Amino acid sequence: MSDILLKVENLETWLGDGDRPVRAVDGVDLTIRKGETFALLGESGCGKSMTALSIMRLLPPAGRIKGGQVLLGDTSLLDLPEYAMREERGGRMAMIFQEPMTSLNPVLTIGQQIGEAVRIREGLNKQSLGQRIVELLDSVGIPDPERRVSEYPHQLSGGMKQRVMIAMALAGRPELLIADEPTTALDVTIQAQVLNLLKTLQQQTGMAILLITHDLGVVAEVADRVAVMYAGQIIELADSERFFRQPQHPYSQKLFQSLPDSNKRSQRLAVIRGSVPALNQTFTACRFMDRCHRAFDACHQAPEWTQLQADEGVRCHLAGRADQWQKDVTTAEQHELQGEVAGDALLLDVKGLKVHFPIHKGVFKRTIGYVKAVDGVSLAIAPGKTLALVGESGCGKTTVGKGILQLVKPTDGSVCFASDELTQLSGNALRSRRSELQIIFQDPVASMNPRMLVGDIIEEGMKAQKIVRNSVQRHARVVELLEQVGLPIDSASRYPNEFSGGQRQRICIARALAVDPKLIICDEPTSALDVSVQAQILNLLKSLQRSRGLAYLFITHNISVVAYLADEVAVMYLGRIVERGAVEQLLAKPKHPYTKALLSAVPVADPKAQREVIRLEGDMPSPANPPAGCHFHPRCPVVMEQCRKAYPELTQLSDGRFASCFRVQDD
Amino acid sequence: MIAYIIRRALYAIPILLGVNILTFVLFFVVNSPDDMARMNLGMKRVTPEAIENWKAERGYDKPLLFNQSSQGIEQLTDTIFFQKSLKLFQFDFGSSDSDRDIGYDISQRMWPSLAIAIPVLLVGLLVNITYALLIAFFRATYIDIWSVVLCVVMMSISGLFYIIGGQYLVSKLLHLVPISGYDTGLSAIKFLILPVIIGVIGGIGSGTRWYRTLFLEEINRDYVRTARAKGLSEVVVLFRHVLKNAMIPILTGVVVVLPLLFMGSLITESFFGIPGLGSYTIDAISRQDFAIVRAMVFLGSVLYIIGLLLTDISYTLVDPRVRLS
Amino acid sequence: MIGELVILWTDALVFILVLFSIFFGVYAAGKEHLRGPWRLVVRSRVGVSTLVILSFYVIVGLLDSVHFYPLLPGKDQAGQQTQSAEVISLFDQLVTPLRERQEKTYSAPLATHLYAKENIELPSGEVVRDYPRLAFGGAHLENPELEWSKDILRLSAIGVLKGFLVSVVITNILIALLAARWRGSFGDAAKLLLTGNTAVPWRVVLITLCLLILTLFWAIELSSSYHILGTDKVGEDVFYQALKSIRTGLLIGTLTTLVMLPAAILLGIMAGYFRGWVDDLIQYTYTTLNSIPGVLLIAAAILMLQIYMSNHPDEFNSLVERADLRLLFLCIILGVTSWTGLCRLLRGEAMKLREADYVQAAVAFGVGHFTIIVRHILPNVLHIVLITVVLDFSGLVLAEAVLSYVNIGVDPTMNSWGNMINSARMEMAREPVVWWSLLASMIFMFVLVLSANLFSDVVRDAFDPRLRNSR
Repeated sequence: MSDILLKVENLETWLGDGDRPVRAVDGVDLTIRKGETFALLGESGCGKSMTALSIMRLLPPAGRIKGGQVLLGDTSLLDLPEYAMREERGGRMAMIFQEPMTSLNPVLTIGQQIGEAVRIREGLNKQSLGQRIVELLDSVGIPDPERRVSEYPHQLSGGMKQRVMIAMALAGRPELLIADEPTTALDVTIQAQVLNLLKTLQQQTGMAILLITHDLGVVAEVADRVAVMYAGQIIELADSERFFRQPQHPYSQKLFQSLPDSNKRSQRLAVIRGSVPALNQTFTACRFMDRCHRAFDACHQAPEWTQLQADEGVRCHLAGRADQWQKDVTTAEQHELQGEVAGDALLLDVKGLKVHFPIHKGVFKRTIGYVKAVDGVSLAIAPGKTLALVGESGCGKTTVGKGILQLVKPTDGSVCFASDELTQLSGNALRSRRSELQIIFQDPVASMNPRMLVGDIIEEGMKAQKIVRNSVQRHARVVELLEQVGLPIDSASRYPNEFSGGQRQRICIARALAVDPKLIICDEPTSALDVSVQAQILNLLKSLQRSRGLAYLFITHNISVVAYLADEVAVMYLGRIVERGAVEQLLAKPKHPYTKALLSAVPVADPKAQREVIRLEGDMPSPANPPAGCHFHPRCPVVMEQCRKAYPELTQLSDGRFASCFRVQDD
Repeated sequence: MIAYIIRRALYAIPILLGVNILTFVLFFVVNSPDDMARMNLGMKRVTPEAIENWKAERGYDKPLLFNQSSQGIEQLTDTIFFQKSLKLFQFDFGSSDSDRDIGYDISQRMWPSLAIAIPVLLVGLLVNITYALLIAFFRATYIDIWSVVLCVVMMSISGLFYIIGGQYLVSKLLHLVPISGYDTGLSAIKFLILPVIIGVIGGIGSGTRWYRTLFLEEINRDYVRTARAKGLSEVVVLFRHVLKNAMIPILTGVVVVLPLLFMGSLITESFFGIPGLGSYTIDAISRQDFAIVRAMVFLGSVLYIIGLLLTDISYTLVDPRVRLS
Repeated sequence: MIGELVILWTDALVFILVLFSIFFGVYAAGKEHLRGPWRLVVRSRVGVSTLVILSFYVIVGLLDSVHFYPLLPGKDQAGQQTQSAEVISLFDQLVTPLRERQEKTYSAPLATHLYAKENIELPSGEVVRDYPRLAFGGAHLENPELEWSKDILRLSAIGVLKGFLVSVVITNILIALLAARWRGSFGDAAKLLLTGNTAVPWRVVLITLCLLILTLFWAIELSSSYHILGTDKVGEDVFYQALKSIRTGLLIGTLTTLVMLPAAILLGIMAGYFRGWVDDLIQYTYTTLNSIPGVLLIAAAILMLQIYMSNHPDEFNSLVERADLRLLFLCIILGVTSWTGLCRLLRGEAMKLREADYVQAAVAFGVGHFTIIVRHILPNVLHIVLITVVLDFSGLVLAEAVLSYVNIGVDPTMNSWGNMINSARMEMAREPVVWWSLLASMIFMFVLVLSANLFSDVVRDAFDPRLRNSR
């Protein structure tokens, strides 16, 4: 088998010493062929990054490889002395990391950092070294590479930095590129660029890629073969086409079902109950048993690897029982969620909201300009409805949420909530209205005071709003809320750090519900969670909306969540809304070129889905210095002369939606 | 960037004014000049004439803030505050109680101070960084653990002990260099070598430990992993990547103390009989010469603020993230 | 024996500090985020052994902080017991022999003769120049030249034996207590403890404690007949002086932080939380104070205090009180020069925390500023305060020595390591050298500072999660 590039056998990696080391990688086998893209798919904490770092022998100080073998070609990597291993790193195999922001040295120029990698491989003289650096930068699609050579990492955007990382990896002309979540920290449009780049480079150089990701969409986009990892083991291996057609392992099946999309709007999402088990234990039963909907008696015995075909296999007792492999389309948990809430008056009506942050400069810190984070946003939400605010990072969507809540003082505009003008209120008048608007944050770790008991955290709002004055009643209400969000009652007397991410997000929801709000601003509440946990939270939010008549302002960058949850969508770009309309209409037939590009860039978890990705050039400009005319014109594929001169107003189209584009008006 | 530095420089003015007022209050309001006179002239049974005489000699016989007996602008200028405190802004330090020109003394005595302080700083920096890099290279081994223990032990010993012990051992027992004293020119070296060595040794404990923390903090960063992934050797990673980043806090920490080097070291100089500003201050304190102490307080503050300013500037020069934004 | 109690200013503050620590201990016991790190501290071997040594210092310091007028044996005309005019402490009372057995001048450790020759009149009326016998040190020996070494050995043996017996008793008590707590048999507990298989390293505690006790009993036994660390210029026992200096060192190390803590916490958090002009004002204040070199500010303030004290001698009842006020003032002025560091640290932290999601959530609930600071900010910066307090301690103890050396430290009449070193400077220039004052103060100071440094490392590692994770 000469086409096998990398062969990993029974790899075991432990983290930490002491009595109970974390067995992050617990017997992993995989083979990667020359020139293929092999995806290692799994949720956070399943050991996929540790597998990659073990192959590169770049483990953190606490980690050590306990056993197994890694063969790169004929070389056994784990037996190499360190100096010989250095030849392989950056030589035959290279690696790029998740966080391009921190993965580059801030005090060395791009050229120095790439040059370093080139020099140890080729030892060129100064002039040809410079040429090679420019050549590498050019090959990863960095515009104007001669100038970029002398720039520092902080002068580049996230996408550019990741390109520089790739250029650095290419310096040694690797046969294997390990990409550890290379696009997770990037926006969708940038992600599309980087994935495209990886594909092109692979075609040019014929290198193999080990792609580590949690995103089914990314896998469908680029992978030839897939391995699913769960709790330190590979539980399923298949080629991409078969995997997406018919996943074998119950875990893989459930992952697909828990993905939100517009087809599942009327039903609850399938969930995988519970969370990933801690890896600092020895397992005798199947690791997935506690969460598996198909668990049966045999599962108390850990299943062996079952090879189904040459390159396919699964680690499950059900393997081989063909009748069990029906890909469930309908779930038992399905029920009707179409609770229409009547209401004609608007609950929230925002008009021309502006939040500008002054830029100070000069000797006396004069204000020389403004960062126009939010620059005239208008939106409205009816009671019991969900408006999704969609946009890439830095477009100002979070600031819109904070501006509505008066957590930052709006510069201009009106925020009318249930016929009260919030921007005019202050002091106690504002304080007393705060119970009706609440917020749920993105980061479940940072959003709760680690020094407070969960019970006190939930009670805080009731106390501040003086809703329940009696402490016994207050406690009873905490219990009631915990039950509503599906947490055990004794949670009240525990600290937040004893809970997993999904559970913490439930506590945050309970905290918000404690003051009986009418509107909850959800600021990316699921983006820090794994897919299976995301489904739990989305289900909870949906059922709470039905039972309590809540309205949501759902701030997100995840289009599939929007499709599942929202009634209306507003797309934001650089502080302004570019398109707004009903969800079916807008997602099915976007009109604004930015919306079109954004939607086309979202990877779909189906390799057969034919779609034309509209590639956007460059990055979003800074809100301190937006381009003249239409803010989108420098990146717009259909730009006209007119767009450079004036900003198109947001106007209503005949189908009811709003859009701000001269092209659209032309239609 | 220039605007930023100008702004920082302007900010120094209110601070120096604050220091000035504070020292004025401390030296003239808490205790009146009468009290000082009585103290200096020897407690008991001092005649009022003697006190007036003492005050007049030193110009302390004026009102504190407002002179009613004068005319026009002199009502404000012919006061202790103006004559003694505000004049400091012109670096006019007046004369000491023993009637010497303080400004002249300072300009004479700062050179011996620098002759000790600069070598101590430079050699200390070199020794500490080298040692810390060595520890960082052998991190999480026994070399690391015992080096840290050694550092903690060394920083637990009082600086006085290093000086007394060093003097006793090197000068008194081994007779290698003179115990104390100073000379001009190159012959000063034999007087300087021991205090410099002792100064460096005394600083190893805390310095090395601090730099080690900085290095280890950098070593755990993502970009170091990237550097290793390129196939760079550990030594290159340490010198090219880690050291370069850790030098930013190290350099700015050094720059802030640079101007204060002029002030010399109180203890070292007085032990070794070096005629620098440190021993000058100590002598003034023990003689209770307030004019000198006041001058040194003001000078120290000016130097500290210059240090802050230099820190800001060096930050902008060293760190590309600040320089280019 | 004990007459009227005297509560000096620093005594009062010491006991407030003790109360405060007890209160904090009770509060921390109920909070997992505070109890957890302390559990890590007492589970570290370095942590517990330094804790034992530090407790020894603290006990001496506390005993030395209960002051009173001792009753004299005689009675006055009214039949009342007379009080001494001199204030002493409980510790002085305990070590009365050490305190009262004064020699004429210098004598070396364990010596039987003075360190300097004097004219001695022999019983025959002849005057010779020789080293005279000490009044107390080895006075019981007939013929010191022959008996001295044997006597030292004998006393050492007795001391070590006594110490060993006490250690055995303490070991047994500890095992019995642990057995009761674990509800196991005495034998099991002994086995676990002696093999070192306990979560809290009791074996290390025990070893440290036994070593301490052995040293202590050895010292007590020898000092019953000798001056084990010699005597100083006026013939006072150096061992006694070094022990008395413990209180001064501890006080400087703890009261200084106690004095500065409220201002640093309040201003630091306010500056970071409110920003704007409050921040500007507080920053201006601490930059101004910080820009004056610390030593000079202390020098100026102490000089001014000296003038004040010498001009108002009637305001102080006794020398002790005067020295005490000077100590307190020194703590305050040291606090003024050192609060800025903590203040700046807290300002930065409060600035970060005010943007934290949970603070934003509290604002969204309409919670007031004061409640937010007390409930959300303060508990989340408490570990920084604690780390700073522990880290500053050893630096302050060392600073006392330097300041006293420059004569701007504690009162010259007060026992302190700095004053001892200060006087040792002259002695080192003598021929032959008088080295024991210096050595005694250095050893006592070194043991305290080293323990404190090691302990603070353990505390910092336990409380700073960032450091804990990087291991």
